[in-house]
Amino acid sequence: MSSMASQNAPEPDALLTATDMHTYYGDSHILHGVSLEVRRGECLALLGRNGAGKSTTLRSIVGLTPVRSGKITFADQDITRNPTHRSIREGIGYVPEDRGIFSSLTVREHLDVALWANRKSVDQRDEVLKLFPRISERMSHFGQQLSGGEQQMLAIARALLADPDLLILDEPSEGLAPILVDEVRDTLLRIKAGGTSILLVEQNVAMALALADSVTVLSQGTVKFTGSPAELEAKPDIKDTYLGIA
Amino acid sequence: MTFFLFNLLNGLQLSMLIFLMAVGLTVIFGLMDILNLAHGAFYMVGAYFGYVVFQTTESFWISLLIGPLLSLALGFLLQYYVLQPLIDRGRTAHLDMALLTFGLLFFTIGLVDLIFFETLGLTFMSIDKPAGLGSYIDIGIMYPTYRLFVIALGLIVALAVWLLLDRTVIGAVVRAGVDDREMVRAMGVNIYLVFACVFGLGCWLAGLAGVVAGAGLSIDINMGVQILIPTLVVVVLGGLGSVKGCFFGALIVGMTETLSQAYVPALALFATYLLLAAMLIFRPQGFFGRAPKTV
Repeated sequence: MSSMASQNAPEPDALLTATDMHTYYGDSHILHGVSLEVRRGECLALLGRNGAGKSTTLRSIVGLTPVRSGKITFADQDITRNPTHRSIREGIGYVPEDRGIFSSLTVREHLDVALWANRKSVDQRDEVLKLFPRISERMSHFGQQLSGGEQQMLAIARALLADPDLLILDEPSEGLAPILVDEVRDTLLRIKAGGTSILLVEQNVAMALALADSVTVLSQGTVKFTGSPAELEAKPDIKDTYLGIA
Repeated sequence: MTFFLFNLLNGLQLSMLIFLMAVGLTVIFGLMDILNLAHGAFYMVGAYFGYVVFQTTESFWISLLIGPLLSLALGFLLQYYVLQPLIDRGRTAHLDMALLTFGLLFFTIGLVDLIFFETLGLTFMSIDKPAGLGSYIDIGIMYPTYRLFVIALGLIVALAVWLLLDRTVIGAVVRAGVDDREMVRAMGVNIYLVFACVFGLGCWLAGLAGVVAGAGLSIDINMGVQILIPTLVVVVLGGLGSVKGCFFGALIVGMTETLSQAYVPALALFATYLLLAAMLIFRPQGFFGRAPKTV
């Protein structure tokens, strides 16, 4: 009896399980049955070329572009049909591709809104800001006055204010100078060391592999590979065909 | 000089009345991208319900307090249960929303006509001004006290709206929503509830303007359409979604209407539209309009 149950239930240490997701933009079929799993305390890197469906996968998970069919489970709860704000409040932090920094809000207001929406106190903010000293020096600056690196840090800090179990990031290294990419990577390593699971979409494969415990490769809306970084290393054909690196 | 001051104050009074209308309309448009032509209906509802409350209680102040609440409730329900579900089903074009809300405006006019004129036989209706605001005051000229009250009320509401939007976390949510609605949802905010509250609040302001007008002017079946036109001009002049622009836009339109009527009556009928046309040609985004986006 118990063995039958365990066959159907997700792995005991799975935090996020997405199964057979099909997503459309209007009539165009973008995701053709994508499945992935993020285990507790681990980082899953979602890799692939431009247009492979990586961002759509993330948007489907948080409900911004709801799936037409498939199932998404987070912390043993079915969140497939959750409105976005409910999934966020249940413990998913989301950092979108364009960072989503508001030009007409100050840094403090960005953080205040996140605290208010997730019913967290200022203590949570002070705790998170220990990771982002440069953000705390710029509390009165407006979003548009921040550099790209500062915006990225603010976007991550804001997502952490809800004290999420899972942090989802869409290309955090995009448009950043190499030294800032290293800074973002180190910050994410510290966040992961603190016990937060990470689902990371990246074009920068080196950075992604520095963080990842497992890797899923997407192409044209389907999963082409899932395994550990070492297993990916052993498959140059996958790297060549779907990532463009040998 | 006396004549000028008198008209200046009249212009200011009209400006404040239009501002009460336009500020809700512009924030609703900026945040939700809905052109709510039914805004005139909420003004009417405020005035007529305010009249009913006044007839029952014989108090202007209670009528001012209770009258706009019906507009608030109806606005909240309209956004939450009618407009938002339609938007979720893909009816997001400005034309869809404009047609629907325009239809609602005429439905409201018809319903009010059926109740108050056809059924109750009421024609000339107004709310009595409260004791103390019903006469004239000497401020260099003899000027109606009630009109000064309207000016003060408008300025207080303008200040309150500015403080709410600029200084509170709710205001930050609204400003963030004007920049990027999707990101606000992705921060854990139930944006549908925020939308409905803002919509309701905008309608409450329209209802407030309705009660105020019901005591200063008169209550009739065309009042909703009449106020809607200068209100739309203000929203275009100020820049869609801009509260500051709305305030200055209201001043310009109120003054233009009043002063052209006083000094160049031949111009009065189309002075406002001249202003509107010039704005659309030379600065279509309005005085304070900008491209709202995340950086």
